[in-house]
Amino acid sequence: MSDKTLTIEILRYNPETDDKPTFGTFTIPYVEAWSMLDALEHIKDELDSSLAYRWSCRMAVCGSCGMVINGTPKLGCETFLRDYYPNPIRVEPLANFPIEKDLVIDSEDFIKKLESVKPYIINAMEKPVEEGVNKQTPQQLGLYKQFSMCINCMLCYSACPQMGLNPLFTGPAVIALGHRYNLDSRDDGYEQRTEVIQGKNGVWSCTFVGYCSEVCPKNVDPAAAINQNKLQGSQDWALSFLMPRKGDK
Amino acid sequence: MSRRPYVRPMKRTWYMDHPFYRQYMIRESSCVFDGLYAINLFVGLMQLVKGEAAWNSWLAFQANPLMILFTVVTLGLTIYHAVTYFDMTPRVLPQQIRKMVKDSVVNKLMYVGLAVVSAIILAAATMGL
Amino acid sequence: MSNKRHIEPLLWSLFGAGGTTIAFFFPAIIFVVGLGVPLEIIPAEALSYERMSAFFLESWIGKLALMVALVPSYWACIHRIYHGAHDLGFHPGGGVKMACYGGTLILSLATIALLLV
Repeated sequence: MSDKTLTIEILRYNPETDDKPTFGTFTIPYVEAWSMLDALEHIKDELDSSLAYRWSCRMAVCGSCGMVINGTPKLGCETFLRDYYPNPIRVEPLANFPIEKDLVIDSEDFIKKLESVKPYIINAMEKPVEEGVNKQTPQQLGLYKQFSMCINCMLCYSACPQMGLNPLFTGPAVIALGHRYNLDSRDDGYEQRTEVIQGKNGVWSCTFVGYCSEVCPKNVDPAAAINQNKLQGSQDWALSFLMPRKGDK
Repeated sequence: MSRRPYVRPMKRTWYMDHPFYRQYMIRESSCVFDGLYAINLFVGLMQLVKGEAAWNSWLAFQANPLMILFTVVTLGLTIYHAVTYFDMTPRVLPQQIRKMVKDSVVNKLMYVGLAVVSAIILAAATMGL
Repeated sequence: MSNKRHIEPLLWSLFGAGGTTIAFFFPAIIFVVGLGVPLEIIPAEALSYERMSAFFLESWIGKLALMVALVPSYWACIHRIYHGAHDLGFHPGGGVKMACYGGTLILSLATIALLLV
C-alpha cells in the first residue's frame, strides 16, 4: 500500500441522534485498483464501523450500491478512485429518496410503484401445457431486450428532477419495465398497465430531461421508453374518439 | 432502533447544480424566445392585413437595434432547440420502427429536412430580386 | 378502458407538432425577417407589401404555409412555458392552466381567422 491518501466526504445521517444529515470527512489510503465500494469497506472496517451503505455483487449486476458521487448518480462498484485522485470525492445517498441512514435510502415507494406496473408476463403463462411452449423469435426478443436490462438500481430516479418536483411520478425505471412487458410478444397485459403508464403521474409527468438515460449503467434508455409511450398514448387517445369504447370496465 | 427517514427538500435552484440540468433549462428557455417571436410574426400578419403603412412600420420595428439583439438570441436558441429536438425525436418513435431504421439515420434525415425547408424559404424570399 | 381521459395526450401532440415546426421553419424565417432584410443582406423588396400580401393573403399555398408554421408553434411554446414554471418551483393551478392554453387557443383562432377572412 502506498502512502498516498485521498479525502472522502460522506453525507452522514443517524436517525437516532441526528436532526439532519451532515458531511463527515475520512482520509483513506489511495489504492489505484480500489472502487468506491472498496473505499467504503475500508472506512467501515478501519475508521468508523457505524457507516451504513448497501452493496452485494460488486459487479454492476445487483443494483444495490447506487449513490451520488460528486453530484452524479453512479454505482459504487464501478466507480474507481483513480478517476478522481488526487481530488477529494463527495459521496451522498441517492437523491429524491428519503435517507434511512447514511448512504442507505428508503426504497419502499419505488417498490410499490414497481409492483403497480405489473412487471411480469400476463396471461400467456396461463396457457395449458398441452398447447406447447411459448415461442419467440430473435426479432421479437430484440424488440424489448434493451428495456429488460434494468437492474432496479434507481440511479434514474436520483437523476430525474421531475421525480423531486412530483414524488408521485411513476418514474423512469418502472415505466421502462412496463414498456418492456408491453413489447413482449408473449404478454397480454397492455390494458392492465395503461392506468399506471398513461395516468397523469405516468409518462405525462416527464419533460424529457433525458438525464435518466445518461446515468443508466445498463443503457436501458428509460427516457425513450417513456416518450414512446407518450406517442402511443396520443394515438390511443385519438383512436378513442374514432372507435366506440370497447366494453367499458 | 426506530426508523426516522430524512426527506431532503428539493432546492428551488436544482437546475444550477449539474451541467446536464443547465443545458436542459437552456433548451426549455428557447420556447420563451420562440413564443415571443411567434407573437411578433402574428403581429406582422395583423399589420399585413391592415395595409401597406402598417406593414412598413412593422418592418421598421424589425430593424430596431434591440429587436436585432432579440432576434440574434432567438435564432441561436432556435438552432439549439432544433439540434436537441433532432436528438430526441428518433428515440420517441415506436420501438418497431427504431429496429428497422437506426436513430442516427432519422437524426440525419431531420437535418436534411431542415436544409430543404430553409433553402425553400430563402429561395422564395429572394426569387426574382 | 379503465384509463381516465385527460387532455395531456392532446397537449403533448400539439407540443410535438410545434416543436417540429419551430425546428424546421423558424431558423430560416427568423433569419430572413429579423436579420436578412433589416441588415440589408437580402434586398428589402423580398418583404415588400406587394409580395407579402400577394403570397400570404391571396395565395392558398402561402396561407397554408403560414398557418402550419405558426399555429402549432404557439402550442409548443406554451406547453414548455407551463411545464417550465413547474420546473422553477411554481405549481400553477387549473385556472392558470386554462388561461395559458385558452389564450393559445384564442391566438390560434385569430391567426386562422386573419388568414381565411
